[in-house]
Amino acid sequence: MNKKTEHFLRKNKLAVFLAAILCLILLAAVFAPWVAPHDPYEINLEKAKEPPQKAYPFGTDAQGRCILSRMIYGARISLFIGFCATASALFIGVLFGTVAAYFGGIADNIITFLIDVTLSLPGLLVAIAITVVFEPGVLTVLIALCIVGWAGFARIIRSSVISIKGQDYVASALVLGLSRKLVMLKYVLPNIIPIIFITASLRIGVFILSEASLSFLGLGISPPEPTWGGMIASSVSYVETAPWMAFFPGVALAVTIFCFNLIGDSMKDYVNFMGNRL
Amino acid sequence: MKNFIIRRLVLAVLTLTAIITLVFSLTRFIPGDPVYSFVGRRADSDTLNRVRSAYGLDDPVPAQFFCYIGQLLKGNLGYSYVTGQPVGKLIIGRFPNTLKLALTAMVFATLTGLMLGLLSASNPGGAIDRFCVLVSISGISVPVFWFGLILIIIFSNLLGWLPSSGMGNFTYIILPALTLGTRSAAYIARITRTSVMEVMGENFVITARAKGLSRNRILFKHILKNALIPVVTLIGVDLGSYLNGSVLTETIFGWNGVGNLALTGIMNRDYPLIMGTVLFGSFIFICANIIVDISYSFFNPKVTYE
Amino acid sequence: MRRAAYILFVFLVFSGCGGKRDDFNTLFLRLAEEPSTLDPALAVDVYSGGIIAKIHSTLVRFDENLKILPDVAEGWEISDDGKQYVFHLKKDVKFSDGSRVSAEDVKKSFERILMADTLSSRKWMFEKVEGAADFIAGRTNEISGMEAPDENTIVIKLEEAFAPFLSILAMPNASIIKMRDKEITGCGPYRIKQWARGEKIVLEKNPEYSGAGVCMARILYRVIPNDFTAVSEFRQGKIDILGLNIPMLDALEKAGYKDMFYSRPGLNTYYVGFNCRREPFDNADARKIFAKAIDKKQIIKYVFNSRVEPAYSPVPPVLLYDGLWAMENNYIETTETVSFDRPFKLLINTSDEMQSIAEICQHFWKKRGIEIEITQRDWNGFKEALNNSEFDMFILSWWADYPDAENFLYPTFYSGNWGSAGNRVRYSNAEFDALITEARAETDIELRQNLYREATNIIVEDSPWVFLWHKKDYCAVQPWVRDFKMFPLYYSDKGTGIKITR
Repeated sequence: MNKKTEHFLRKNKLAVFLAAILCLILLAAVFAPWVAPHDPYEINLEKAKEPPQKAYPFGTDAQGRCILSRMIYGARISLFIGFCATASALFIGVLFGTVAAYFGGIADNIITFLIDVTLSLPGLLVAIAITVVFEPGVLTVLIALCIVGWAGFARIIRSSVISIKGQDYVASALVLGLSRKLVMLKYVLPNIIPIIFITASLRIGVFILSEASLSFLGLGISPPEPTWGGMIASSVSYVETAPWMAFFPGVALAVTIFCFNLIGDSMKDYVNFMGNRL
Repeated sequence: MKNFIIRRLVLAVLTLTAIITLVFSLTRFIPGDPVYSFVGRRADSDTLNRVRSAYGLDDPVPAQFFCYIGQLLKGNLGYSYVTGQPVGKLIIGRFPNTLKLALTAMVFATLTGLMLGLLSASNPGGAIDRFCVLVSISGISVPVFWFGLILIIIFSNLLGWLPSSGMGNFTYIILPALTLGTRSAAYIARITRTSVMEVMGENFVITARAKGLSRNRILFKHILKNALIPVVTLIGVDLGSYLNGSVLTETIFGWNGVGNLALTGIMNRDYPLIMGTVLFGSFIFICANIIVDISYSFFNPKVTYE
Repeated sequence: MRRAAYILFVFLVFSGCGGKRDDFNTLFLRLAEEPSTLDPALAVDVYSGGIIAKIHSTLVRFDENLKILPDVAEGWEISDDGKQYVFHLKKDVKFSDGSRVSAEDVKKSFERILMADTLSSRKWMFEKVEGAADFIAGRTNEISGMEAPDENTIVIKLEEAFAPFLSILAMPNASIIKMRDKEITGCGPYRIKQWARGEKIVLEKNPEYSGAGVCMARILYRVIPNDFTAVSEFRQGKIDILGLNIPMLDALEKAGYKDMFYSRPGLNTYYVGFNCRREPFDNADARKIFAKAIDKKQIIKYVFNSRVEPAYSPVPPVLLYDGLWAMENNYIETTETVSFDRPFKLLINTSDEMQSIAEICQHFWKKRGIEIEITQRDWNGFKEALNNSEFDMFILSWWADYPDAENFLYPTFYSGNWGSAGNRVRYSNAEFDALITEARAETDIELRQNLYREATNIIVEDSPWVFLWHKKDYCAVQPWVRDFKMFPLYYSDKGTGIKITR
């Protein structure tokens, strides 16, 4: 770690702190069976709707399951879907974006048109429609999010590649007789990596939120698998009698997305701060 | 300029055609039979078949498609399977509500966002700035449906100030507008901050300062005028997306808008209604974008479209 | 700016403090879902049925104790063989446009349900009428068994005796209507004033209604899909009568509204259905193992706060005039563990309630070593999957169309009704078929009830369903509502009698 980075991190303590929180959430999700105080599927009707207490730090739900444990397991699904959706949307986006920018011409026109069409569709509605008609499950949700989400990436990647392609050093590399493929791999792609990271980090929150929204509407992952959105949905009826049931999953959702957003923001600042030396 | 507009319009028509084809095939080629939404629990299979054929569901898909396009060119969006009403009429009936909510939310978002953004930018790095940045990122991060619930608990149940659901006098719109607008407010605050700070660093501002103009005068006369362009873009695009109905907000608050209508359509597999609402949403969105692009050149004469 | 904020604040504080009422002529009700149609021939859900009952009248209707009362008909005679019904119409019944209701209108209303173009899924209501099958198939232009010999008399002949027929005529689908240019006019206590789709339905008093007891000038139904917001609106005094589910009940009870509650036993059965054509559910013993693994008493105690009645048969006890219910004592939960070579697919719809029940059932089955996978589909997908038999088990409830045990036995278990006609579990038992067919034709009420009981015993023994519970109907009523009565059937409340006081 060089001095400048150290300086940057020192100035952005909050980002470091949030990154730590995010790591904690991630670790909790990965090691859920060891971290969770109870079995998240264990129904205990005698203990239904218990308020937060020592044995159940976040209380229990209507079936007497430990909310904290369900949130920890729910983190697995939320994060898994967030990462996978981002990764696959990113893959399609980078592929289409670079192909469009690299080849130009008719390929560019077609891809740009596809991007425009996708972006003009009402995204959540289309995602809802897809999850309604296909057999529900993680895969359906992933496909739905991907279909709706790839275009945003593709557009950003395409414009970044085009702008980098126009830079002097790329032009000189081409003049020097390097093959286009090599220039692409060696000069262009490395330069869009920071952009990819920043967009991904800002986007992952959106995907997590979309999955939660689908679960909130009762679509998506089948019960008894816990998801944050689903936990909020099934506690809406109990908001008055047992407010903790909706409160904590919502906080988890908000905090996670907050972390991703702020870290993405800080990465952007960092790239600006470091200038072209990245 | 003229050429630009024509090109955009042609592109818009192409995009809409693509969307029609896409959504149409989505509704017809996927599994799922809509008849179950409108027959009861004791329906004989003969009735099921009759209903299917009455709605043209047993025609070959291409025939259904061209029939739909033909009707569409005549300005007919078809009839809802479930209610039998013309889809166009259903959407037009709900649109004023959606418009009301979208505009209110946007006014709230713009005012709050600009205020936060300006506060931030006036003293970058300071305590207020950091607070505003946190608030705006929180606004982006909070799930809409959860935020709506929390607002209902606080303002309807605990305080009893505002109604929690439905339509009525202007008190009914406050909570949904807050819920819907928060996200935009947060984005506007961020964009305002960045863009004001960028403009602040530019030569003409430094000159103005050197001339000894007052701080407020510089802020409002020189900086805001130039910094607002991206903000206006954002407002336009966001408004466009609100106008095609905000499913979650409308569901939570029982707001009788296009989003709610679309959701009902999807849940009932009411194909004409799904087509209609998606098409309508895309149409509004495309229009909003074209308007934003055109207005761009008015705000900033430097932007030209060749 | 600061002043403006202050004024806004003060305004909000005072404008929200509801509870004060200035309109004493309008009854405010909640609709959880918008009715898809108010056409009596097409209405299949309780929301449309409830409203149709207020704007239309039927030949006969039910009172709050399920006694059959005259409505459009002032009297009727049923022949000894139970095949012929003669109805004498009241002479002063008018449609809301002022024209008289004649026997011809009655005939046309019933014919309309059977006409192919109407696309009604309620043809079964009249399937026993002589000549109905020919009319449905389009072979005849008139139903031979339905005649209007004069203006005030309608004669209906059945192919064979069919005891529940009179009850069926009270269903909202059998409303007497007048069609003019696709506009439907009714003769009920109210008429539609405004239908703002997705928002509200306003009914106003029908000035031509001859019956007594219409005290409200208007009934305003507000569409409020969210239970939680409906409770909040009730607390602010903006809904007069609110039907409650258990979480809503708990919320209102906690907020101190307990003395506004009304309840009565509901005519419904919640159940888990087995796919009786699929292994291992084709075997009654296997089904019983599944059924007895579920400790419904515990669910009822902890999930429903003992607010539902455990079910031991498919028929709500009131419909069998009690009597045989020693069944409860025969019911023992098993503790043995079994093993199957595959996990089973439990199909449910997306309602939170069903999800919760499914998760609990899954838990109980797991205790006995049975693995369950829950598949949650939207309502349409759910019904489609049911119809195509794409399930091992499903959870659903059956609500009465009319208060007769037949309604809980024949559509649901008769082997001729497989699939969308109601027998979704695809149960088939010749002995049961014979009993229920005999019961349907039996005109003597005592004998019929005995046959129903026998048939019920077969079902209980064969256990094609896991009988879960019968829900009670609950509602909360504001203190300013007077003379409120709770009706056991959604369509027997005609909106008459009820008043609002200052």
